Amino acid sequence: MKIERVQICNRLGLHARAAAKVVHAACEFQSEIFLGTDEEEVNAKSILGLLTLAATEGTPLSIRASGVDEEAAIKALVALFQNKFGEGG
Amino acid sequence: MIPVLVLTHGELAKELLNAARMIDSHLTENSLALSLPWDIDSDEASRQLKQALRGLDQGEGILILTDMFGGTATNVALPFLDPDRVEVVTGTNLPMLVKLASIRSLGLPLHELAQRLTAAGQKSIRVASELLKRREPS
Repeated sequence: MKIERVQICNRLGLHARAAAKVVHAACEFQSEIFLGTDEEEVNAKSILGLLTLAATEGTPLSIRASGVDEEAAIKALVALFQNKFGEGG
Repeated sequence: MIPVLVLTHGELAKELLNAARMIDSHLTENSLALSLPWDIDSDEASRQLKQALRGLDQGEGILILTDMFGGTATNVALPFLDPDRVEVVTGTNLPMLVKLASIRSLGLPLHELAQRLTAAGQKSIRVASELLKRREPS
């Protein structure tokens, strides 16, 4: 199992289109991947699950991956968050 | 993959699919919107629905999502109900369309797909302040 901390740094937070991008990225990997705040953790392969995090700009999140490709999965997701989901905002 | 027809009066069906497509273009695969004009007569609505169902049919059954139980769109759809072939779920919403992609990929039979989707739609209706209250430090 591998865990990495990230922060939401785009203005709109983890909104629906951003969540869809996370799901697409997560589904590329076999590992189970979870995204969590301090209070709860959800499946990173579910758009509706991710939306319930209500993660706004500045929210710290942990990405937890468990499986054969966990390292690559974490790396890809961290890059997506750092890239502000490709929104540049 | 079981095809889905979103059926409403006005432009609601089309816009629900548009909204889902904006979130992720994959969400609307194998889905069709049928927006019935407000002044359409029921025979014409029925004819359009029949044509749409024929176009979507791939032999696995078709799921019709309507706006409201008791509404005209639902009433037009009900005569087409046919176990294993055509199922109708009423009161559809955007989270259901979002959920649809992942549930459909499970390859469930039509009735189970309808039930799972209904449960997801009901669960998606939240009082935001109650959801967010959990986060507040006590």
